[in-house]
Amino acid sequence: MDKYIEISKITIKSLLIYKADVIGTALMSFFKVFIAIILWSAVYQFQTTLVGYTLPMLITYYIIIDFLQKIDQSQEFASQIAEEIRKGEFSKYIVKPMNPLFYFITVSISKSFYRFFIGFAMLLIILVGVQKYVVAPASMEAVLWGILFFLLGSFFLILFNYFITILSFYFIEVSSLFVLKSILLSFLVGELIPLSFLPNAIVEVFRFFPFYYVLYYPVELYLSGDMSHLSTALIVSLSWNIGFFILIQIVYQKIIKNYAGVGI
Amino acid sequence: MIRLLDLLWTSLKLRISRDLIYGMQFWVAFCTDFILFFIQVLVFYTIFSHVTDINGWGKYQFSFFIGTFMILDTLKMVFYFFGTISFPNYIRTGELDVYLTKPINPLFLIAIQKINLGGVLNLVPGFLIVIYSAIELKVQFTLGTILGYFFFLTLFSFLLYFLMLAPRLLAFWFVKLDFLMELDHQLNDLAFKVPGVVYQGVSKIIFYILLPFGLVATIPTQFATSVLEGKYWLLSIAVVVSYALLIMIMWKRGIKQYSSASS
Repeated sequence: MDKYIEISKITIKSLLIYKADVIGTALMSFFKVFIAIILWSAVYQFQTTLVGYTLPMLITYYIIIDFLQKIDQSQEFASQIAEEIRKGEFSKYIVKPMNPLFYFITVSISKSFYRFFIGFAMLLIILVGVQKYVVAPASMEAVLWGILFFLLGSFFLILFNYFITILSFYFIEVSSLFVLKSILLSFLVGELIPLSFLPNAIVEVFRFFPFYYVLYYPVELYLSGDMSHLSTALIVSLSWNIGFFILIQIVYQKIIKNYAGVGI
Repeated sequence: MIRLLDLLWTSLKLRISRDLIYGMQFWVAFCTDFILFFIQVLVFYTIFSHVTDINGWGKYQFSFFIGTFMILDTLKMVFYFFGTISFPNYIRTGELDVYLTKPINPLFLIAIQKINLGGVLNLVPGFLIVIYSAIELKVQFTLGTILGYFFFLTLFSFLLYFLMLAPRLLAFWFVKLDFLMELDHQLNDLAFKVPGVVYQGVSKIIFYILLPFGLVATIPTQFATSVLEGKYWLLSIAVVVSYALLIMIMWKRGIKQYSSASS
Protein backbone atom coordinates (compact mmCIF):
# COMPACT_ATOMS: atom_id res chain seq x y z
CA MET A 1 0.00 0.00 0.00
CA ASP A 2 2.90 2.38 0.83
CA LYS A 3 4.22 2.15 -2.75
CA TYR A 4 0.85 3.24 -4.17
CA ILE A 5 0.71 6.17 -1.74
CA GLU A 6 4.20 7.19 -2.91
CA ILE A 7 3.08 6.95 -6.55
CA SER A 8 0.11 9.12 -5.68
CA LYS A 9 2.34 11.79 -4.10
CA ILE A 10 4.71 11.85 -7.09
CA THR A 11 1.79 12.15 -9.52
CA ILE A 12 0.33 15.12 -7.68
CA LYS A 13 3.75 16.82 -7.42
CA SER A 14 4.26 16.49 -11.18
CA LEU A 15 0.84 18.03 -11.80
CA LEU A 16 1.71 21.01 -9.57
CA ILE A 17 4.54 22.00 -11.95
CA TYR A 18 2.18 23.37 -14.60
CA LYS A 19 -0.39 24.99 -12.32
CA ALA A 20 -1.32 27.74 -14.76
CA ASP A 21 -2.19 25.23 -17.43
CA VAL A 22 -4.44 23.23 -15.10
CA ILE A 23 -6.15 26.38 -13.87
CA GLY A 24 -6.57 27.57 -17.45
CA THR A 25 -8.21 24.27 -18.39
CA ALA A 26 -10.49 24.54 -15.36
CA LEU A 27 -11.47 28.06 -16.49
CA MET A 28 -12.92 26.46 -19.60
CA SER A 29 -15.81 25.44 -17.37
CA PHE A 30 -17.01 29.04 -17.55
CA PHE A 31 -17.11 28.70 -21.26
CA LYS A 32 -19.18 25.54 -21.27
CA VAL A 33 -21.65 27.08 -18.86
CA PHE A 34 -21.77 30.16 -21.07
CA ILE A 35 -22.59 28.01 -24.14
CA ALA A 36 -25.30 26.20 -22.18
CA ILE A 37 -26.89 29.47 -21.02
CA ILE A 38 -26.88 30.97 -24.53
CA LEU A 39 -28.29 27.91 -26.27
CA TRP A 40 -30.88 26.92 -23.72
CA SER A 41 -32.07 30.49 -23.09
CA ALA A 42 -32.95 30.58 -26.78
CA VAL A 43 -34.72 27.20 -26.55
CA TYR A 44 -36.71 28.30 -23.49
CA GLN A 45 -37.79 31.58 -25.10
CA PHE A 46 -41.41 30.49 -25.42
CA GLN A 47 -41.74 27.88 -22.67
CA THR A 48 -40.97 27.49 -19.01
CA THR A 49 -40.38 23.73 -18.85
CA LEU A 50 -39.02 21.10 -21.18
CA VAL A 51 -39.31 17.41 -20.29
CA GLY A 52 -39.78 18.45 -16.67
CA TYR A 53 -36.72 20.73 -16.63
CA THR A 54 -36.95 24.46 -16.05
CA LEU A 55 -34.16 26.63 -17.46
CA PRO A 56 -32.40 26.94 -14.06
CA MET A 57 -32.61 23.16 -13.60
CA LEU A 58 -31.05 22.58 -17.01
CA ILE A 59 -28.26 25.10 -16.46
CA THR A 60 -27.57 23.56 -13.03
CA TYR A 61 -27.47 20.19 -14.80
CA TYR A 62 -24.77 21.38 -17.20
CA ILE A 63 -22.77 23.12 -14.47
CA ILE A 64 -22.59 19.96 -12.38
CA ILE A 65 -22.06 17.68 -15.40
CA ASP A 66 -19.13 19.82 -16.52
CA PHE A 67 -17.56 19.76 -13.04
CA LEU A 68 -17.95 15.98 -12.67
CA GLN A 69 -16.84 15.22 -16.23
CA LYS A 70 -13.50 17.00 -15.71
CA ILE A 71 -12.63 14.94 -12.65
CA ASP A 72 -11.93 11.73 -14.61
CA GLN A 73 -8.37 11.95 -15.93
CA SER A 74 -7.77 8.31 -16.75
CA GLN A 75 -8.01 8.62 -20.52
CA GLU A 76 -4.94 10.81 -20.93
CA PHE A 77 -2.83 8.40 -18.91
CA ALA A 78 -4.38 5.44 -20.74
CA SER A 79 -3.35 6.94 -24.10
CA GLN A 80 0.18 7.37 -22.80
CA ILE A 81 0.41 3.72 -21.71
CA ALA A 82 -1.13 2.58 -25.01
CA GLU A 83 1.67 4.41 -26.83
CA GLU A 84 4.26 2.78 -24.56
CA ILE A 85 2.82 -0.65 -25.29
CA ARG A 86 3.06 0.06 -29.01
CA LYS A 87 6.72 1.03 -28.64
CA GLY A 88 7.51 -1.98 -26.48
CA GLU A 89 8.11 0.14 -23.38
CA PHE A 90 5.46 -1.55 -21.25
CA SER A 91 8.24 -3.67 -19.76
CA LYS A 92 8.94 -0.99 -17.14
CA TYR A 93 5.51 -1.67 -15.61
CA ILE A 94 6.05 -5.42 -15.55
CA VAL A 95 9.44 -5.29 -13.81
CA LYS A 96 8.19 -2.97 -11.07
CA PRO A 97 6.95 -4.61 -7.84
CA MET A 98 3.35 -3.63 -8.43
CA ASN A 99 0.33 -4.63 -10.42
CA PRO A 100 0.07 -2.51 -13.61
CA LEU A 101 -3.70 -2.20 -13.20
CA PHE A 102 -3.38 -0.97 -9.60
CA TYR A 103 -0.63 1.42 -10.70
CA PHE A 104 -2.96 2.76 -13.38
CA ILE A 105 -5.82 3.11 -10.89
CA THR A 106 -3.55 4.90 -8.38
CA VAL A 107 -2.24 7.42 -10.91
CA SER A 108 -5.73 8.02 -12.34
CA ILE A 109 -7.23 8.60 -8.89
CA SER A 110 -4.36 10.95 -7.94
CA LYS A 111 -4.87 13.04 -11.08
CA SER A 112 -8.63 13.07 -10.44
CA PHE A 113 -8.04 14.14 -6.84
CA TYR A 114 -5.98 17.12 -7.99
CA ARG A 115 -8.52 18.07 -10.66
CA PHE A 116 -11.31 17.79 -8.13
CA PHE A 117 -9.87 20.57 -5.96
CA ILE A 118 -9.17 22.91 -8.88
CA GLY A 119 -12.58 22.14 -10.40
CA PHE A 120 -14.39 22.59 -7.08
CA ALA A 121 -12.94 26.07 -6.65
CA MET A 122 -14.13 26.96 -10.17
CA LEU A 123 -17.52 25.40 -9.44
CA LEU A 124 -18.03 27.64 -6.42
CA ILE A 125 -17.13 30.72 -8.48
CA ILE A 126 -19.54 29.68 -11.23
CA LEU A 127 -22.34 28.96 -8.77
CA VAL A 128 -21.96 32.47 -7.33
CA GLY A 129 -21.61 34.07 -10.76
CA VAL A 130 -24.75 32.51 -12.27
CA GLN A 131 -26.77 32.02 -9.09
CA LYS A 132 -30.04 32.97 -10.78
CA TYR A 133 -29.63 29.84 -12.91
CA VAL A 134 -28.76 27.52 -10.01
CA VAL A 135 -31.21 25.31 -8.11
CA ALA A 136 -30.62 23.77 -4.69
CA PRO A 137 -30.47 19.98 -4.34
CA ALA A 138 -33.77 18.15 -3.86
CA SER A 139 -32.40 16.41 -0.72
CA MET A 140 -29.05 15.81 0.95
CA GLU A 141 -29.68 12.07 1.07
CA ALA A 142 -30.08 12.06 -2.73
CA VAL A 143 -26.86 14.05 -3.08
CA LEU A 144 -24.95 11.51 -0.98
CA TRP A 145 -26.29 8.68 -3.12
CA GLY A 146 -25.34 10.72 -6.19
CA ILE A 147 -21.77 11.01 -4.93
CA LEU A 148 -21.61 7.25 -4.40
CA PHE A 149 -22.85 6.54 -7.93
CA PHE A 150 -20.44 9.09 -9.36
CA LEU A 151 -17.55 7.33 -7.59
CA LEU A 152 -18.71 3.95 -8.89
CA GLY A 153 -19.15 5.41 -12.38
CA SER A 154 -15.70 7.01 -12.32
CA PHE A 155 -14.12 3.75 -11.22
CA PHE A 156 -15.84 2.03 -14.11
CA LEU A 157 -14.41 4.63 -16.52
CA ILE A 158 -10.92 3.96 -15.15
CA LEU A 159 -11.38 0.23 -15.79
CA PHE A 160 -12.89 0.90 -19.21
CA ASN A 161 -9.97 3.10 -20.27
CA TYR A 162 -7.49 0.54 -19.00
CA PHE A 163 -9.26 -2.16 -20.98
CA ILE A 164 -8.92 -0.11 -24.17
CA THR A 165 -5.27 0.46 -23.28
CA ILE A 166 -4.46 -3.25 -23.06
CA LEU A 167 -6.12 -3.73 -26.46
CA SER A 168 -2.89 -2.11 -27.72
CA PHE A 169 -1.36 -5.55 -27.30
CA TYR A 170 -3.63 -6.72 -30.13
CA PHE A 171 -4.01 -3.61 -32.29
CA ILE A 172 -1.23 -1.35 -33.58
CA GLU A 173 -3.23 1.83 -33.11
CA VAL A 174 -5.85 2.42 -30.42
CA SER A 175 -5.82 6.23 -30.33
CA SER A 176 -8.80 6.23 -32.71
CA LEU A 177 -10.61 3.91 -30.28
CA PHE A 178 -10.08 6.45 -27.51
CA VAL A 179 -11.46 9.23 -29.70
CA LEU A 180 -14.45 7.09 -30.70
CA LYS A 181 -15.03 6.16 -27.07
CA SER A 182 -14.96 9.83 -26.00
CA ILE A 183 -17.47 10.80 -28.67
CA LEU A 184 -19.87 7.98 -27.80
CA LEU A 185 -19.44 8.45 -24.07
CA SER A 186 -20.22 12.16 -24.24
CA PHE A 187 -23.68 11.17 -25.49
CA LEU A 188 -24.20 8.03 -23.37
CA VAL A 189 -23.34 9.69 -20.04
CA GLY A 190 -25.67 12.63 -20.66
CA GLU A 191 -22.96 15.22 -21.22
CA LEU A 192 -24.50 16.58 -24.44
CA ILE A 193 -28.14 16.40 -23.44
CA PRO A 194 -30.01 14.97 -20.42
CA LEU A 195 -30.87 11.36 -21.16
CA SER A 196 -34.46 11.98 -20.10
CA PHE A 197 -34.88 13.98 -23.35
CA LEU A 198 -34.65 10.70 -25.23
CA PRO A 199 -37.68 8.43 -25.76
CA ASN A 200 -38.62 6.47 -22.63
CA ALA A 201 -37.93 3.11 -24.24
CA ILE A 202 -34.33 4.11 -24.92
CA VAL A 203 -33.87 5.47 -21.41
CA GLU A 204 -35.13 2.18 -19.94
CA VAL A 205 -32.50 0.28 -21.97
CA PHE A 206 -29.77 2.71 -20.88
CA ARG A 207 -30.55 1.93 -17.22
CA PHE A 208 -28.90 -1.48 -17.66
CA PHE A 209 -25.63 -0.01 -18.81
CA PRO A 210 -23.03 1.62 -16.58
CA PHE A 211 -22.78 4.87 -18.58
CA TYR A 212 -26.22 5.97 -17.37
CA TYR A 213 -24.86 6.09 -13.81
CA VAL A 214 -21.56 7.86 -14.50
CA LEU A 215 -22.81 11.45 -14.75
CA TYR A 216 -26.50 11.61 -15.65
CA TYR A 217 -27.93 9.61 -12.72
CA PRO A 218 -25.95 11.43 -9.97
CA VAL A 219 -27.03 14.81 -11.34
CA GLU A 220 -30.62 13.60 -11.74
CA LEU A 221 -30.60 12.58 -8.05
CA TYR A 222 -29.40 16.07 -7.16
CA LEU A 223 -32.15 17.75 -9.18
CA SER A 224 -35.15 15.49 -8.64
CA GLY A 225 -34.29 13.56 -5.46
CA ASP A 226 -36.01 10.55 -7.08
CA MET A 227 -34.54 7.48 -5.36
CA SER A 228 -37.05 4.95 -6.64
CA HIS A 229 -34.47 3.13 -8.82
CA LEU A 230 -31.67 3.04 -6.26
CA SER A 231 -31.49 -0.73 -5.86
CA THR A 232 -31.40 -1.33 -9.64
CA ALA A 233 -28.79 1.39 -10.00
CA LEU A 234 -26.62 -0.12 -7.29
CA ILE A 235 -26.82 -3.63 -8.73
CA VAL A 236 -26.05 -2.46 -12.27
CA SER A 237 -23.13 -0.22 -11.22
CA LEU A 238 -21.51 -2.81 -8.97
CA SER A 239 -22.03 -5.63 -11.47
CA TRP A 240 -20.36 -3.76 -14.31
CA ASN A 241 -17.44 -2.72 -12.11
CA ILE A 242 -16.84 -6.25 -10.85
CA GLY A 243 -17.42 -7.75 -14.29
CA PHE A 244 -14.94 -5.43 -15.99
CA PHE A 245 -12.36 -5.96 -13.27
CA ILE A 246 -12.53 -9.71 -13.83
CA LEU A 247 -12.51 -9.31 -17.62
CA ILE A 248 -9.36 -7.19 -17.45
CA GLN A 249 -7.59 -9.78 -15.29
CA ILE A 250 -8.49 -12.57 -17.73
CA VAL A 251 -7.51 -10.64 -20.86
CA TYR A 252 -4.29 -9.34 -19.31
CA GLN A 253 -3.14 -12.82 -18.24
CA LYS A 254 -3.66 -14.09 -21.79
CA ILE A 255 -1.89 -11.26 -23.58
CA ILE A 256 1.08 -10.84 -21.25
CA LYS A 257 2.25 -14.35 -22.10
CA ASN A 258 2.84 -13.24 -25.72
CA TYR A 259 4.24 -9.80 -24.92
CA ALA A 260 7.62 -9.03 -26.50
CA GLY A 261 8.83 -5.70 -25.21
CA VAL A 262 12.17 -3.92 -25.54
CA GLY A 263 14.84 -5.92 -23.74
CA ILE A 264 12.61 -8.98 -23.21
CA MET B 1 0.17 29.09 -56.93
CA ILE B 2 0.76 26.28 -59.42
CA ARG B 3 3.67 25.10 -57.30
CA LEU B 4 1.46 24.98 -54.22
CA LEU B 5 -1.22 23.02 -56.06
CA ASP B 6 1.43 20.67 -57.40
CA LEU B 7 2.72 20.11 -53.88
CA LEU B 8 -0.82 19.54 -52.62
CA TRP B 9 -1.39 16.94 -55.35
CA THR B 10 1.90 15.15 -54.51
CA SER B 11 1.00 15.15 -50.82
CA LEU B 12 -2.40 13.66 -51.66
CA LYS B 13 -0.84 10.86 -53.72
CA LEU B 14 1.59 10.01 -50.92
CA ARG B 15 -1.20 9.95 -48.36
CA ILE B 16 -3.34 7.71 -50.55
CA SER B 17 -0.43 5.25 -50.80
CA ARG B 18 0.08 5.34 -47.05
CA ASP B 19 -3.61 5.02 -46.22
CA LEU B 20 -3.95 2.02 -48.49
CA ILE B 21 -1.30 0.25 -46.38
CA TYR B 22 -3.20 0.92 -43.17
CA GLY B 23 -6.69 0.39 -44.55
CA MET B 24 -8.23 -0.01 -41.10
CA GLN B 25 -7.01 3.47 -40.08
CA PHE B 26 -8.83 4.95 -43.07
CA TRP B 27 -12.16 3.41 -42.06
CA VAL B 28 -11.72 4.16 -38.36
CA ALA B 29 -11.16 7.85 -39.17
CA PHE B 30 -14.30 7.87 -41.32
CA CYS B 31 -16.38 6.08 -38.66
CA THR B 32 -15.16 8.38 -35.89
CA ASP B 33 -16.11 11.54 -37.78
CA PHE B 34 -19.38 10.06 -38.98
CA ILE B 35 -20.43 9.05 -35.47
CA LEU B 36 -19.55 12.51 -34.15
CA PHE B 37 -21.81 14.17 -36.70
CA PHE B 38 -24.51 11.56 -36.28
CA ILE B 39 -24.62 12.20 -32.54
CA GLN B 40 -24.82 15.96 -33.09
CA VAL B 41 -27.71 15.50 -35.50
CA LEU B 42 -29.35 13.17 -32.97
CA VAL B 43 -29.01 15.80 -30.21
CA PHE B 44 -30.66 18.47 -32.34
CA TYR B 45 -33.45 16.19 -33.48
CA THR B 46 -34.03 15.26 -29.84
CA ILE B 47 -34.31 18.94 -28.90
CA PHE B 48 -36.64 19.59 -31.84
CA SER B 49 -38.89 16.74 -30.78
CA HIS B 50 -39.80 19.02 -27.86
CA VAL B 51 -39.72 22.51 -29.47
CA THR B 52 -40.75 23.96 -32.85
CA ASP B 53 -38.20 26.72 -33.33
CA ILE B 54 -35.22 28.38 -31.70
CA ASN B 55 -34.86 32.12 -32.31
CA GLY B 56 -36.80 31.91 -35.57
CA TRP B 57 -34.90 28.91 -36.88
CA GLY B 58 -36.86 25.71 -37.34
CA LYS B 59 -35.72 22.11 -37.60
CA TYR B 60 -34.61 22.37 -41.22
CA GLN B 61 -32.60 25.55 -40.78
CA PHE B 62 -30.78 23.78 -37.96
CA SER B 63 -30.20 20.66 -40.02
CA PHE B 64 -28.96 22.80 -42.95
CA PHE B 65 -26.62 24.50 -40.46
CA ILE B 66 -25.37 21.14 -39.14
CA GLY B 67 -24.88 19.79 -42.67
CA THR B 68 -22.90 22.92 -43.59
CA PHE B 69 -20.77 22.58 -40.50
CA MET B 70 -20.19 18.90 -41.31
CA ILE B 71 -18.85 19.89 -44.72
CA LEU B 72 -16.59 22.61 -43.27
CA ASP B 73 -15.37 20.38 -40.49
CA THR B 74 -14.70 17.52 -42.91
CA LEU B 75 -12.64 19.81 -45.16
CA LYS B 76 -10.71 20.88 -42.07
CA MET B 77 -10.11 17.32 -40.87
CA VAL B 78 -9.10 16.17 -44.34
CA PHE B 79 -6.74 18.95 -45.40
CA TYR B 80 -5.05 20.65 -42.48
CA PHE B 81 -6.18 19.52 -39.03
CA PHE B 82 -3.65 16.74 -38.39
CA GLY B 83 -0.81 18.78 -39.84
CA THR B 84 -1.59 21.99 -37.95
CA ILE B 85 -2.33 20.33 -34.62
CA SER B 86 1.33 19.30 -34.27
CA PHE B 87 2.59 22.84 -34.86
CA PRO B 88 3.36 23.70 -31.19
CA ASN B 89 5.36 20.48 -30.95
CA TYR B 90 7.52 21.43 -33.94
CA ILE B 91 8.38 24.72 -32.27
CA ARG B 92 9.19 23.09 -28.93
CA THR B 93 11.34 20.32 -30.41
CA GLY B 94 13.00 22.40 -33.12
CA GLU B 95 11.49 20.32 -35.91
CA LEU B 96 10.21 23.55 -37.43
CA ASP B 97 13.74 24.04 -38.82
CA VAL B 98 13.08 21.34 -41.41
CA TYR B 99 10.06 23.24 -42.75
CA LEU B 100 11.79 26.63 -42.66
CA THR B 101 14.58 25.37 -44.89
CA LYS B 102 12.22 24.15 -47.62
CA PRO B 103 11.61 26.48 -50.62
CA ILE B 104 7.88 26.65 -49.92
CA ASN B 105 5.64 28.41 -47.40
CA PRO B 106 6.23 26.53 -44.10
CA LEU B 107 2.66 27.00 -42.88
CA PHE B 108 1.27 25.50 -46.06
CA LEU B 109 3.71 22.61 -45.92
CA ILE B 110 2.89 21.82 -42.28
CA ALA B 111 -0.84 22.05 -42.94
CA ILE B 112 -0.92 19.58 -45.84
CA GLN B 113 1.68 17.07 -44.71
CA LYS B 114 -0.88 14.88 -42.91
CA ILE B 115 -3.83 14.97 -45.24
CA ASN B 116 -6.42 12.57 -43.86
CA LEU B 117 -8.39 10.95 -46.62
CA GLY B 118 -10.41 8.85 -44.19
CA GLY B 119 -12.64 11.84 -43.57
CA VAL B 120 -13.47 12.59 -47.20
CA LEU B 121 -16.46 10.27 -47.21
CA ASN B 122 -18.09 12.44 -44.55
CA LEU B 123 -18.66 15.05 -47.23
CA VAL B 124 -21.39 12.78 -48.56
CA PRO B 125 -23.70 12.80 -45.49
CA GLY B 126 -22.92 16.51 -45.05
CA PHE B 127 -24.11 17.33 -48.57
CA LEU B 128 -27.05 14.95 -48.27
CA ILE B 129 -28.25 16.72 -45.11
CA VAL B 130 -27.79 20.12 -46.78
CA ILE B 131 -29.68 19.07 -49.92
CA TYR B 132 -32.49 17.41 -47.95
CA SER B 133 -32.86 20.48 -45.71
CA ALA B 134 -32.74 22.80 -48.73
CA ILE B 135 -35.57 20.85 -50.37
CA GLU B 136 -37.67 21.03 -47.19
CA LEU B 137 -36.96 24.77 -46.93
CA LYS B 138 -37.87 25.20 -50.62
CA VAL B 139 -34.52 26.80 -51.40
CA GLN B 140 -34.13 27.92 -55.02
CA PHE B 141 -31.24 25.96 -56.56
CA THR B 142 -30.03 28.70 -58.91
CA LEU B 143 -26.44 28.96 -60.19
CA GLY B 144 -26.02 32.08 -58.05
CA THR B 145 -27.15 30.26 -54.90
CA ILE B 146 -24.84 27.32 -55.50
CA LEU B 147 -21.82 29.46 -56.39
CA GLY B 148 -22.47 31.76 -53.46
CA TYR B 149 -22.77 28.81 -51.10
CA PHE B 150 -19.46 27.36 -52.31
CA PHE B 151 -17.87 30.80 -52.03
CA PHE B 152 -18.83 30.95 -48.37
CA LEU B 153 -17.67 27.37 -47.80
CA THR B 154 -14.26 28.31 -49.20
CA LEU B 155 -14.12 31.57 -47.25
CA PHE B 156 -14.98 29.93 -43.95
CA SER B 157 -12.66 26.98 -44.57
CA PHE B 158 -9.86 29.55 -44.57
CA LEU B 159 -11.32 31.20 -41.48
CA LEU B 160 -11.42 27.88 -39.60
CA TYR B 161 -7.78 27.32 -40.56
CA PHE B 162 -6.79 30.77 -39.24
CA LEU B 163 -8.79 30.20 -36.06
CA MET B 164 -7.05 26.87 -35.53
CA LEU B 165 -3.59 28.24 -36.28
CA ALA B 166 -3.77 31.44 -34.21
CA PRO B 167 -3.61 29.85 -30.70
CA ARG B 168 -0.96 27.40 -31.90
CA LEU B 169 1.32 30.20 -33.08
CA LEU B 170 1.46 31.26 -29.42
CA ALA B 171 3.80 28.30 -28.96
CA PHE B 172 6.55 30.68 -30.10
CA TRP B 173 6.11 32.44 -26.77
CA PHE B 174 4.64 29.88 -24.35
CA VAL B 175 5.83 26.39 -23.40
CA LYS B 176 2.54 24.74 -22.45
CA LEU B 177 -0.68 25.56 -24.23
CA ASP B 178 -3.01 22.77 -23.20
CA PHE B 179 -5.68 25.11 -21.87
CA LEU B 180 -5.63 27.12 -25.12
CA MET B 181 -6.07 23.88 -27.06
CA GLU B 182 -9.00 23.09 -24.79
CA LEU B 183 -10.41 26.58 -25.50
CA ASP B 184 -9.97 25.97 -29.23
CA HIS B 185 -11.81 22.67 -28.89
CA GLN B 186 -14.63 24.34 -26.92
CA LEU B 187 -14.96 27.11 -29.49
CA ASN B 188 -15.23 24.57 -32.29
CA ASP B 189 -17.84 22.78 -30.24
CA LEU B 190 -19.64 26.09 -29.89
CA ALA B 191 -19.57 26.66 -33.64
CA PHE B 192 -21.07 23.22 -34.15
CA LYS B 193 -23.85 23.54 -31.59
CA VAL B 194 -24.83 27.18 -31.53
CA PRO B 195 -25.82 29.00 -34.72
CA GLY B 196 -25.05 32.70 -34.83
CA VAL B 197 -28.76 33.66 -34.75
CA VAL B 198 -28.82 32.72 -31.07
CA TYR B 199 -26.35 35.44 -30.08
CA GLN B 200 -27.46 38.86 -28.97
CA GLY B 201 -25.65 42.02 -27.86
CA VAL B 202 -22.13 41.53 -26.52
CA SER B 203 -22.05 37.82 -27.30
CA LYS B 204 -22.80 38.65 -30.95
CA ILE B 205 -19.83 41.03 -31.11
CA ILE B 206 -17.59 38.41 -29.52
CA PHE B 207 -18.65 35.49 -31.72
CA TYR B 208 -19.06 37.40 -34.96
CA ILE B 209 -15.95 39.57 -34.84
CA LEU B 210 -13.41 38.71 -32.14
CA LEU B 211 -13.82 34.91 -32.16
CA PRO B 212 -15.93 34.56 -35.32
CA PHE B 213 -17.03 30.96 -34.78
CA GLY B 214 -20.60 32.25 -34.88
CA LEU B 215 -20.22 33.13 -38.57
CA VAL B 216 -18.80 29.86 -39.81
CA ALA B 217 -21.85 27.75 -40.68
CA THR B 218 -24.50 30.40 -39.97
CA ILE B 219 -23.70 32.75 -42.87
CA PRO B 220 -23.80 30.02 -45.58
CA THR B 221 -27.12 28.82 -44.12
CA GLN B 222 -28.60 32.32 -44.11
CA PHE B 223 -27.31 32.93 -47.62
CA ALA B 224 -28.83 29.72 -48.99
CA THR B 225 -32.17 30.45 -47.31
CA SER B 226 -32.13 34.03 -48.70
CA VAL B 227 -32.14 35.82 -45.36
CA LEU B 228 -28.55 37.07 -45.39
CA GLU B 229 -28.29 40.83 -45.13
CA GLY B 230 -25.69 42.69 -47.23
CA LYS B 231 -23.72 43.87 -44.20
CA TYR B 232 -22.91 40.26 -43.29
CA TRP B 233 -21.28 39.71 -46.68
CA LEU B 234 -18.91 42.58 -45.88
CA LEU B 235 -18.46 41.45 -42.31
CA SER B 236 -17.55 37.91 -43.36
CA ILE B 237 -14.92 39.06 -45.84
CA ALA B 238 -13.53 41.68 -43.44
CA VAL B 239 -13.21 39.16 -40.62
CA VAL B 240 -11.41 36.58 -42.78
CA VAL B 241 -9.01 39.20 -44.18
CA SER B 242 -8.34 40.53 -40.66
CA TYR B 243 -7.54 37.07 -39.38
CA ALA B 244 -5.25 36.43 -42.36
CA LEU B 245 -3.34 39.60 -41.46
CA LEU B 246 -3.22 38.59 -37.81
CA ILE B 247 -1.74 35.20 -38.73
CA MET B 248 0.88 36.90 -40.92
CA ILE B 249 1.88 39.26 -38.11
CA MET B 250 2.01 36.48 -35.50
CA TRP B 251 4.05 34.24 -37.81
CA LYS B 252 6.59 36.97 -38.68
CA ARG B 253 7.04 37.98 -35.06
CA GLY B 254 7.19 34.38 -33.91
CA ILE B 255 9.85 33.47 -36.47
CA LYS B 256 12.00 36.45 -35.44
CA GLN B 257 12.32 35.14 -31.94
CA TYR B 258 12.37 31.41 -32.79
CA SER B 259 15.72 29.81 -32.08
CA SER B 260 15.24 26.15 -32.91
CA ALA B 261 15.05 23.62 -30.07
CA SER B 262 15.90 26.21 -27.42
CA SER B 263 12.75 28.31 -28.06
